Amino acid sequence: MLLAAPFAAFIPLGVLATVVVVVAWNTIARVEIMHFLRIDRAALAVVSVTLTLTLLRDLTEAIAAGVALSLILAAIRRRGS
Amino acid sequence: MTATAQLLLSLRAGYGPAVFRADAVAGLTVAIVALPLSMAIAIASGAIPAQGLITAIIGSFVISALGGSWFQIGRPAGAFIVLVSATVAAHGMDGLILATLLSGVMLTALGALRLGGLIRHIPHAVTVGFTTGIGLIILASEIAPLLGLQITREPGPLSQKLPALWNAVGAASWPTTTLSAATVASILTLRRLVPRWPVLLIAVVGATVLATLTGMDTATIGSRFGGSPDCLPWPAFSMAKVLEVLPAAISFTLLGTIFAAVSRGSRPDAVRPACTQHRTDHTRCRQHRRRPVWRVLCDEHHRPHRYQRARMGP
Repeated sequence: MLLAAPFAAFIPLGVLATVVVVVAWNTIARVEIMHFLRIDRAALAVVSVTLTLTLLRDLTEAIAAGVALSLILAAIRRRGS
Repeated sequence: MTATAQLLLSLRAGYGPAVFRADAVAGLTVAIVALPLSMAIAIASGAIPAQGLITAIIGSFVISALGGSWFQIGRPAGAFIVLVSATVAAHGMDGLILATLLSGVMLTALGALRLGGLIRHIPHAVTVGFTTGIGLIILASEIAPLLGLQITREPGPLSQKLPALWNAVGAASWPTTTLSAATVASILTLRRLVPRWPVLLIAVVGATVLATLTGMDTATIGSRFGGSPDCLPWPAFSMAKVLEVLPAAISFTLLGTIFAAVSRGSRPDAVRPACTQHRTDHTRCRQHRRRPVWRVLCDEHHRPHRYQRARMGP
């Protein structure tokens, strides 16, 4: 890696950005979301809340809210059955 | 956390030339993937490429020697970009290093108290939600470099970032935009054609050679980050700074534990099986295209079909 580093000066920034874009695209859990969309609406609600809070607020808050909502939904489900 | 480092476990189990050869090939494979990734992630996180390279080198050694798993892969994780860039913007590079240090202390404490297992109770839906959110934020943050936009002080929050990008989009650089589009297209094509090759590295090298030979007018690592630091940074330590970066350190700990659990495969439901026969994600392989539940499918419906566990996300 250190040997290759001097040549790195020639790499265009836009090209490195595409690497990050591909990685970010893989981070988006498309398969899981489609799965929840078809099968598990409660999980979909948790996904949407966590996702929205991650985008608008911050990560820690999003995770806390997501876990709390899952607990509430699990409690409701248990009561219903 | 088991207290024994993997290095000791491996040595105790015996280490011969055959194992070394396999390990060397595996190590080289990971290094080739990590090379472009470490620089790209460093820039996206608000650091310089050299810092990304050094971090990747040191990190790989530490993870492999001290990690608690035989087959864990340690490489730069894209998911941390959002947290790291926010910390660098708010507290500077020394603040980031201090936050990482604190997070290391917290992780050790969690392990010693055996609280790490609690992370398994975080529902899969929550993990899916925030990783997707992180992916979208990263995509938004890469729009400017992709189009060659020059935005002085690009705002961090999404609600301000998108309007700022929209206002600047008229000034997009055509050479940079074309090059980016061509690179993305070639990565996606190569992935489909030769999925086992180091596609990212090939695309980066190819695009760089093309841009250099044609003398393309586009910003490069050299033109943006002239010199590289020749010494390792040291955290600025003061009680005030510790309190300042504490929330960031807690976020690092949380995300670190979740991703460690996912990468080790200790949460089977978070691990997406990949179909070795068709060399794709299981869900994308022709045979199982319309089946919604990949997990059940792999374990029960389709036993003769060989599968391996693949990572979820990067």
